[in-house]
Amino acid sequence: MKKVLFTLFLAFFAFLANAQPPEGDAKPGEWYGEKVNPEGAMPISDAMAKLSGGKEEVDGKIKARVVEVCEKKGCWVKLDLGNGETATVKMKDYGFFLPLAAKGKTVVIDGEMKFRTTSVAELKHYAEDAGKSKEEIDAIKEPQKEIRVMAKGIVVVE
Amino acid sequence: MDESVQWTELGVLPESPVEKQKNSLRHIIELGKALFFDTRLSGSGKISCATCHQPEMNWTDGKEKSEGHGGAVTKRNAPTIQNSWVYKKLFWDGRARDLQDQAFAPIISETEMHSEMPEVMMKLRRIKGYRELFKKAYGDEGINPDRMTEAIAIFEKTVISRKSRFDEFLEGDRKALSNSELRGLHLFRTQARCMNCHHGPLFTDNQFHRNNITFMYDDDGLYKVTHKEEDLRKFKTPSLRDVARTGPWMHNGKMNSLELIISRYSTARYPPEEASPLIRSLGLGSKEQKDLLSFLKAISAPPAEFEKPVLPE
Repeated sequence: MKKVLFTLFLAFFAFLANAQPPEGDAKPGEWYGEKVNPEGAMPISDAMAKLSGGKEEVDGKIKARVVEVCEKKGCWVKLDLGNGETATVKMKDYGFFLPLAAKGKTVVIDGEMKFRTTSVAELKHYAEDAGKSKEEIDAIKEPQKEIRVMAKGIVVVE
Repeated sequence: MDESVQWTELGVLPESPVEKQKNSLRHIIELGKALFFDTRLSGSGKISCATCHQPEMNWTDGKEKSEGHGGAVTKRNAPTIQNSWVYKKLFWDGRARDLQDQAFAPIISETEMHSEMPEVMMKLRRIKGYRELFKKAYGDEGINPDRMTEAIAIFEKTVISRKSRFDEFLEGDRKALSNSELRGLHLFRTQARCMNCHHGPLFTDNQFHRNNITFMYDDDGLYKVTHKEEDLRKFKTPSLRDVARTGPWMHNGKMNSLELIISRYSTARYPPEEASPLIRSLGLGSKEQKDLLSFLKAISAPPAEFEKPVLPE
């Protein structure tokens, strides 16, 4: 009986360990991927200004607030750009994941930030797959620009 | 064997866990096989899973590190997918919980296939043959990331080693192993201490250990996932089935001969202090090292014959 209980006990923890996204409460100081020293990070609005000013990519430490975490795996997060829009963060080499608790936290990300453009043809395909009407699909005439960050490491600061 | 080790006996090559359901799963397997070989899953249209896991090379690519998108080089060595159904965690650092979870990574990773899930879905939905394959496999034409990765994972589970001479020996053919190989088997189980980690019919304990055999400290391994000091530079114990055909070896592909690995495990300078306590300098003589190598060759077999799929149009 003891053995059975022990097996159940192990199975329970194996289950916990396997739950995805990773467990964790994303307290200040918690880190993911490469360890990042948060000192000297620029606010994401500054990074945005550089991109809008014509810089092709901003490479370095960026501070921002997480507004969404991939619920299935924690493999991407979205950052508040402060203008009602968000930037999507992907993890380098698909190498690490964030817990759901990271939502609402302020983080410093070491990575590369740049614009990513989705072509009109692609947008139309996506709209088609999403079951949009012909009128809605025909109305797509502009490519979509969004901000992407490829993160080497992330640390929670607040 | 060290007392702390809960080991299981070596044994005959086990069949794949999907073997008994092969008939009911055949359409999913067919779908997964097509996806595995399809370069359209990559951003460049040039790379498939099979680029790094080639059936004729025991499902490896024979390289130290693999070449990904636009010539980018991966961080670690591509392991074989043979018998990968046995692993409880996937990747050298165990960051994926199963094969399906693992399958997302190379497709999305910017250094590997450099795709994005929405893009892949968009492409597959526009290939008639795939709509048909998904329908056969899942009952409707719905194409989504979960179905795609599940099919790839189930296909991967069908890929196992071919029986080796060691299996023939275990099944009763006493002449299947030479004297040197038999001595190697004995060393493997005793003085060479291999069984402390490489045990069971698939020669792996499914655990993570620090062997520091390459003396390179550039990859934190399991620590990256668990953030526990004790897990620093630990990597998954790979199966030794077909080991003589799946080099170069170790997580970083830095060991390019089995002779070198065996001799390093044997020298007095090895292991470094911070290596796992299960690892000790073996002090094997050159004859013993040769015998051990013969045994590793005897548990290695050419891959089973495999027919590549015709890709859907």
